[in-house]
Amino acid sequence: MPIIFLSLKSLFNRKTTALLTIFSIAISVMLLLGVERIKNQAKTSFANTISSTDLIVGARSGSIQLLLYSVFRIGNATNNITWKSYRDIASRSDVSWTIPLSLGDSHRGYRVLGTNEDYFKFYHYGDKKTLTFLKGAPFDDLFDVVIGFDVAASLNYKLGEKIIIAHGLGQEGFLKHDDKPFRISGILRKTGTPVDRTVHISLRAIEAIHIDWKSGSRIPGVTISAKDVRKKELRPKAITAFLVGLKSRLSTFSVQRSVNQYREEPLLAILPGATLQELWSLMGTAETALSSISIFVVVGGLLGMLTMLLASLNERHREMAILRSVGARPVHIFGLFLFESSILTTIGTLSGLVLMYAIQIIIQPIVNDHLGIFIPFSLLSMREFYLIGFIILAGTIIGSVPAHQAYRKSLIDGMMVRN
Amino acid sequence: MIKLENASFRWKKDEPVFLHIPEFRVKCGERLFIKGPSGSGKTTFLNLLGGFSIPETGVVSIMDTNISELDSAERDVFRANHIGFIFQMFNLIPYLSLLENITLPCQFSSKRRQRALLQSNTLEEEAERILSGLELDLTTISSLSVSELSIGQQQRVAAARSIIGSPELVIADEPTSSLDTNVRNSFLDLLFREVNNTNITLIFVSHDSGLESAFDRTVLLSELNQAELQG
Repeated sequence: MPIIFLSLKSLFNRKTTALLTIFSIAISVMLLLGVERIKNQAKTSFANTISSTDLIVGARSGSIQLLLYSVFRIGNATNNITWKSYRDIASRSDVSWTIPLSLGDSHRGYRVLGTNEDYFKFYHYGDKKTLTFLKGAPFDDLFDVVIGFDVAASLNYKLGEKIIIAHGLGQEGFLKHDDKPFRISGILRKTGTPVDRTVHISLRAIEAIHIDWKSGSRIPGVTISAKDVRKKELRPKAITAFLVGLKSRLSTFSVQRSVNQYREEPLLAILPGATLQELWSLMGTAETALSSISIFVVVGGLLGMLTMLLASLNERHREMAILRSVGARPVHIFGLFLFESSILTTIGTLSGLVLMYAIQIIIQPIVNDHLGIFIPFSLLSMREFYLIGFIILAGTIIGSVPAHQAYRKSLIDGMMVRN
Repeated sequence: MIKLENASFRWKKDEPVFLHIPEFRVKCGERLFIKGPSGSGKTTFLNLLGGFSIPETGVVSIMDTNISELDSAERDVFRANHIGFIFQMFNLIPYLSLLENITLPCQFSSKRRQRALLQSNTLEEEAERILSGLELDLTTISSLSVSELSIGQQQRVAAARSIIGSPELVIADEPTSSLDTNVRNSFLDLLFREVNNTNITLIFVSHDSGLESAFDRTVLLSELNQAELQG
């Protein structure tokens, strides 16, 4: 009991160094826990991007590339698939549903996705959730557009507003389909997936805005107005990729094989789950590096504490002799130092936890906007709990180094006071 | 009270004997002046008396307990219960208050705590009582931190700490050498008064012969230590 009291008093006496030590431990723990959380959440939200889809089919390229452009809207397709090939596969007897995807245009930095009504019926994410509307409904008219939650939120769009779609993926002021404006017919609810950052129009609309275009620019002298285009037959000639839902999961591999061996043109079918895994493992190195760095930061924080305790050892030589003379035993001296280090690490670690929650409040919307990763507030996971326990234990063990030195000195020196 | 017989001590096995004391006795309640310049084995001798070290051969007996037969934990408890210490300077722990410094021995020894509580209702009251005996008025200094006290005041606080809970033996290691003459004399007077009141045996080590006359007996450490003769 007197030792706990003495430890607290002595730490309070050295409050500047003690606070700095606590602070450095807190920062390191915050970093470690924060990185852990972001990592886990990134992984979860990554795996939740698409579900219930059995196959993704696109032009033959790398499987990760196909996944990236079809699901994450990152990068471009090397080639399109013809409408005929799409219809061939979609009409197979073992196929339950398909969602055609046509990419290539953009709106103020957000990708435009051409698709059909099936997208709103069959697209699943997370734990088999379908897309739901915050406001409005799926596109009905040719020039209707459905926007994702983030598009609406960051551009401050309302239902019924008119927007212009740009040709290609260039930024503002590039080539625009400004002769054929779209009306916002629906805004989707937040999903935490790339859907939030997508502008959806119908495949027919994709055809309509490109009807007087060829090879990425307007055909000179040919202009077909928004009014006239409605009279045209708007049949898509090609799409970028399509998602496939099968009647039975058992046929997944046989369908995949027959798509990969399709004779009319080179196609590639991938299993989204397997490719997601493959893609995540590519990031594994970065993930490990990040974890290692944050672990080393914690080690640094604890070593800082060790330095501080060892440095104080010489100054406290007289204090130890006095304590010995009033009846403190060497184990008391050991306990004094050990208790100080465990107080420092415990307070430091708990402050780090508080700090992490505080930072989370601040960065949650930013991370969500920029990375599309939603970090929910949650209690400590078992792993985090162990991590915290481990840090406190490690700090206490490190504290036994100066404690043992103090113990030995007080045992040898007795009442000898070195100055 | 204290009996040393043929006690010899060396720091390391391969070194010559550093301290050899054929015989040394102190009576109960005696006030003994030990004169020894620094380097004469003073600290080693006090470490033996305080039970911090044990002799290689011979007997160190305090209050009829042969402390060389106790293990180190038992010696620690014995010291806490029966011996008070005053050092030359910087006796106080800077992060504790005045009263916390004085009552510290009672935190480590339940015996001294009990004896202190026989005198007063609380340890703090007892500390105040002893302080007033040493003519320190707590009301004027209680707001100060221990490092803000004058050296004379610090030594009196240290003296109060050494006698709280009435240990049988007080060992003072040059407690007056950092004080000027006036302060030194009044410190000695007050210390004697308190020691006499409680019948504490006092062992006072100093190189200052001017203090000798106030004590019952003087021992020269160089005469006591026969190490060179024997070696």
